[in-house]
Amino acid sequence: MPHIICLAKQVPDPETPASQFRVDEAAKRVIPAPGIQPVPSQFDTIGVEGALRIKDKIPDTTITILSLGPDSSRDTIKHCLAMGADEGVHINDPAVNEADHWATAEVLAAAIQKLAPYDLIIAGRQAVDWDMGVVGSTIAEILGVPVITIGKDVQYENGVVRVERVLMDGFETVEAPTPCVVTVSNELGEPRYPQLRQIMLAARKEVKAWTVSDLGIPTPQNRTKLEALFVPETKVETEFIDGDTPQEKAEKLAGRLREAKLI
Amino acid sequence: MSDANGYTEAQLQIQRMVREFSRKEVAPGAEERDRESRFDYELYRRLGGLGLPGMLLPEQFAGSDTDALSFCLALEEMSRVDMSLALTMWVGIQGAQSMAHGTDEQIAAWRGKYIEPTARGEMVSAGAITEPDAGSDTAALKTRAVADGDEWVINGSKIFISNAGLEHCGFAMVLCRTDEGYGIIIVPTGTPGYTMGPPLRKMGLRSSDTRELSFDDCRVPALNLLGGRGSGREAIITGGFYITRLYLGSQAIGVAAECLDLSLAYAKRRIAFKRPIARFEYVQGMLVEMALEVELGRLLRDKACRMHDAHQYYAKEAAMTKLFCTEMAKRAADHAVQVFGGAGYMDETPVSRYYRDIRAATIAEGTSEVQKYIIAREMGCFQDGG
Repeated sequence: MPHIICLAKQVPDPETPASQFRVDEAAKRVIPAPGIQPVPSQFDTIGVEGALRIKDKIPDTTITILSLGPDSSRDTIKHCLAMGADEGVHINDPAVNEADHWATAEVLAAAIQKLAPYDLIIAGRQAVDWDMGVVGSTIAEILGVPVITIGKDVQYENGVVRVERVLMDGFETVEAPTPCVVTVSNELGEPRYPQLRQIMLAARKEVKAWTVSDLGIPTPQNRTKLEALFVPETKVETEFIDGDTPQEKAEKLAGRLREAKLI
Repeated sequence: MSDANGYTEAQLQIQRMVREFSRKEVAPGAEERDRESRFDYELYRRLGGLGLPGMLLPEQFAGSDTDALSFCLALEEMSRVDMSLALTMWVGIQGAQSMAHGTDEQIAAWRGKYIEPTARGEMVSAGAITEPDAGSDTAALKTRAVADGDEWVINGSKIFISNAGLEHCGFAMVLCRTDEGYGIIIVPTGTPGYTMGPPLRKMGLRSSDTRELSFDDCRVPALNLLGGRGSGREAIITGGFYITRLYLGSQAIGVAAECLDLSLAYAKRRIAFKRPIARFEYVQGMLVEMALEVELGRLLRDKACRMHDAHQYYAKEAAMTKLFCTEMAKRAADHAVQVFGGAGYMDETPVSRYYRDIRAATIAEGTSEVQKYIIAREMGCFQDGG
């Protein structure tokens, strides 16, 4: 009976119009856009899809959703349960609400150990808010288990995970013994829509709520420091190239581009 | 846990799922379906796969037993991109909804044949109420059903009937005059004497099916009277004329909200006199009015839904929701065309489709004038004394 733990993070909706994206430079924080609900990070729901495909083949697989975040993160867990996952664990502790990637990985690794035994840990290749892409690998480092990143297909059989990875110039297939961490990319395919019946079942499911003290570890400290957070200014200037003939215009354009060191 | 609107976790999940599905799967073909007046059966089957047509049915009928507010949130989201599809769905489930409240004998006969296929999105029904000379004025109803042994014999005609011509329409619910007064009788598609006219050409809602139906000595089993013999009138009252006003109101909120979002985005990028037109006060006036009325519409609709879900009497609130939301959505679509200017009058932007589609909403399910009458009646205007 395989046990898969899927990591799921709640993020600001990436569909938020750019005009509503604001940061508080003094507090170095993103200001949530008013009236726009946060959503599950899409790579993480793709990870849940990968786990569900394994469960489709091995029906007695148990999928546990693990999320670290404030109260609202419970909604992300419920979404994943509505997709078809079995259990949810929410680590909700103000002491780690501002955790950096290392502190996040330490908390999640401790929670994973509390949820042992497990066969697979599946996470998105990166969260779509900060795009760091390191938490999955850092968890593997802390737990001392193999990690396979940026998978597009995840197969599990008899204690071995077989992953097709996305490379810059193609694909490669690798295997690792379990337990193992796998991060997945959008090439795996669209996450399934939660069905109505599953949404109603998920609404009735209990989500375990843990704090750091429940994990038996001291509150981890951040190892990175955010120096500044700002929205870069973009400047657009338009210049019309004049000329009597298309050839003359083209020559002038090429000259301007060369001056600007663009060609 | 809930959000600022007081929606529950499950309601928010449903809202998000339908929003995502609507944006990704429904929106891309909506303009083409409208242009070709074409209904997409495969898309409807996918709605069935997600469980949307079965939302309100109890679990024992392959439904998911959600509350009315959840269903209205789903209709709102779907109507933001395709009002025709959402209309086909809520009209199409009404038959199964009514059947689920039938007698034990009726449920036994209809469960596998009609109710569960509807929940799965494999079948829809048509609601045959309006006649050429009788809409909300049911006293003028001419279609008559006469008991003959263990059958009903139906004669008459109906007009502006949604869904009847769709390939997967299993039956029509026909409002008839009977020896008990009124009753709704189930007439399966293909019953001898039941014929339908060609699709009617419409101003909007073009990818939904609308036809004229006629019944000529059309015979169906006595069992087919909703509610059973002696309870036909009661079945009409409990069958949910009020709730359909909330469905149409929710569709209107969806259209208005989308008109607002599209108009706001356009007004911020459309430059005139060297600045975005959103900076001009007259344009702001339209945007503000739309934003305010969408919010107000939701408050009214949510209250009426909660009253329905709490089994409270909500005739006034249902009429207010239908009246306000459809009228404000008509204004919102008009504003959207105005904000978009020439582009809004062309079919290259969706607002022209919304302008055409929403026009039916102040007419169907009781005109705005009828809703005002109902509200006045519920306020006690027809009762003398202080």
